[in-house]
Amino acid sequence: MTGLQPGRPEAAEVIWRWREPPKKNAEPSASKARIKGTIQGGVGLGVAAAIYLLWSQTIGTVVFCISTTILLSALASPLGLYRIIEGVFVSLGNHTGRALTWLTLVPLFYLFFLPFGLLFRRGRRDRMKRFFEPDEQSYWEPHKAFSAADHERQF
Amino acid sequence: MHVLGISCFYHDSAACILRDGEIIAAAQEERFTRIKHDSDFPANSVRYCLAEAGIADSKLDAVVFYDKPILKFHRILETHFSAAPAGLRLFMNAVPVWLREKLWIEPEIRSALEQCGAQAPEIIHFAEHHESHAASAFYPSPFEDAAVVTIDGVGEWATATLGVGEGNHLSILEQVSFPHSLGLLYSAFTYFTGFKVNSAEYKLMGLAPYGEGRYTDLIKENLIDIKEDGSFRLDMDYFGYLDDLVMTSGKFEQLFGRPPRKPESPITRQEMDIAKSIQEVTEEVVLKIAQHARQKTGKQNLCLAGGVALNCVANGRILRAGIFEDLWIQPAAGDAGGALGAALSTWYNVLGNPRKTDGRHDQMQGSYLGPEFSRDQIKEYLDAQGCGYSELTDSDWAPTLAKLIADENVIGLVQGRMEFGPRALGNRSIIGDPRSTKMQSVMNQKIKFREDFRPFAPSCLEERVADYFDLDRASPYMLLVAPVREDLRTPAEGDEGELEIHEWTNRARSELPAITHVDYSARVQSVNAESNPRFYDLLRAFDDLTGCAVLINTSFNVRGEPIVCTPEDAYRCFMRTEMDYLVLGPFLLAKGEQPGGNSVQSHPGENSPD
Repeated sequence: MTGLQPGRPEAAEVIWRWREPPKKNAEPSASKARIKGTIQGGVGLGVAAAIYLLWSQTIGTVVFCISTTILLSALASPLGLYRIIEGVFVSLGNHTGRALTWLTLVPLFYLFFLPFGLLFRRGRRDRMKRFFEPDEQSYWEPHKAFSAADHERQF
Repeated sequence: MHVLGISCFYHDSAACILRDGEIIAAAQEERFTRIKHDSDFPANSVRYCLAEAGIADSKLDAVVFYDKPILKFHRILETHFSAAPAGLRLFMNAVPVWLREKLWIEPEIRSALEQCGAQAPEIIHFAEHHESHAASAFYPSPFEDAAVVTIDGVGEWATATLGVGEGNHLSILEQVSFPHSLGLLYSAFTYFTGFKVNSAEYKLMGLAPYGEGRYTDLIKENLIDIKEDGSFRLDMDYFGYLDDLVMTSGKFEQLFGRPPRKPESPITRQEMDIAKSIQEVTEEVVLKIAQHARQKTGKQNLCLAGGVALNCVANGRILRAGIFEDLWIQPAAGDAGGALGAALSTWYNVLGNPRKTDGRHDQMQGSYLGPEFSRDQIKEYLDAQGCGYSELTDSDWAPTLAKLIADENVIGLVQGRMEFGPRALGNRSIIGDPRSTKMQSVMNQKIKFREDFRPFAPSCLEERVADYFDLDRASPYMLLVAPVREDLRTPAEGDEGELEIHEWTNRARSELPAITHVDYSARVQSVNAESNPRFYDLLRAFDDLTGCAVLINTSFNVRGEPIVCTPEDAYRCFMRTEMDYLVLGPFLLAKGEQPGGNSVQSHPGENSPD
């Protein structure tokens, strides 16, 4: 063994901060929620007005109602009703994101990976080499030599 | 010049820093976040490494990541080309994560380093996964030249490699490619026997000696084709990991005539036999690879790394086979060690710096590369918590602890710098008397809260190793299994095969029952005064008092928890278990003198299976 080095107390201090109180989830702040809801509601009302005037009065009215509900709930009940509404929208956003992922990736899988995969396999270009080769002496494959330039690439 | 190595985003994230090629610090992120096998960016480890090097606000000279993300993504795409139309579930699981996170590792590293207060250089280096493993095995080794073998689950494409190191140059000559993987084969059996993949492979290894190799031929005839040079292919019809989120397929279950064992359900003889069989196959492959490495490279020494190099039973087989004159295994052989290897590869292989070796000493500093807490820091914490303690003088420390151990007390020991790698080597350890017949079951059930079939490892004075074990060399990192000497063994009674596993475990097998496995083997750590003077003094004091130069040494944690890092982690763990004493540097804490007294503070059930 070479040079057993003692650890520096200053370094230990960096990762052991027992004097600091444990971090709790930030307490929800009514004023922050109020501001956030007001901005969301305000933007929503602007969008509603634009839709109403430029596109569809019906859709504009729906967006107006939703935005007004957000605005009023944020002002009247920032930690109650507003949080519930916000939770519903977050959940809706997550589900929409998941649905979009499936809507884009499932076709990609079946329209790209399946046909090309079948094509590759027909041409015996299966990188997985899912077969034993009893006549071969070895399964070792040569490895490409390193170069310093390789280290600067992610491939 | 400072080089920072980083491994993360898969499992066991870690960071390491070199100064002019010398290893200054290395640590796994799990120790700081307390999340076992934490895979997130190792922000705490990086902060710690920078602070240990005293360069918290400086610009780093080089930063290197331990694998090549685009090559890995290529392998994932090829896997889906190969598996389609099967594999949609795996595709939907993997591809969004890649598109969202893993393809953007360089900006992620830059941003995370900035948050750690470090300035990244213009170029971030990317080593190959197995190059990192190979570098972690060869460069810190004591050998001027050696054959280098790495075996793990999978890196980019390679699952096993054979290379050669000479001076400061390391090259990989050959590889076995995904999906044919000895690591994944072992993991498949880990899954099938009800243990956690990428975590509990060592339990399967510990279970193997209870079984018989009834399935060895079945495995070799159906699952794997092994060539004479150790290269191999798997029959992928039996495995699920190419096209699903499981390790084994229905055909695998048909072969063994049963479904996978449910985690936490009772372990049957079939699981023991399966464990033994896959262990035999693994040893056969590893031995053949070692023979091939010797022939191919002509080198007299072997360096090993990769997750499979933690299979210390196979390592012991290589040693006893006499294929090589000597063997050196990277103590952080898993992915955490990739951070170290990547940094070393950059320093030597890329920057071309000279390398010095003396043939005897390695560069790992005993693998004590983590944080150390000073007397004053510990005292301030203990006083603030109102803990009861006494302070031992340097001359009293070892004899006092030796006496407590000889009285069959179990002691949690925190001293010096934390170990890098999965083994506790006397600085974050739970220690006890190996002569005690009840110690294995007490420590398993009341302290570690883990399966009672699992044996404990011995730490032994280096100069006395041959008095207890059939081992003719040092084993400082607990990576070699050796037989307990024949004259110390208690003969088997012959009915062991009919016993329940816990009854079998509780039968004394030698004069050191707590560290002797059912096959009379032991996973030995040899300790010398140079690598760990305090722990050495303790072993010496125990030897002086009892005539026994061996202690039980198990990692200081409970099931499902990472090994403790800080005195605070250690105190919390101490109060949650039935440990009798806790040693924090020079301070000795008795359980009965703590606020809350002898009560165990929380239920062990809170620890998830590991």
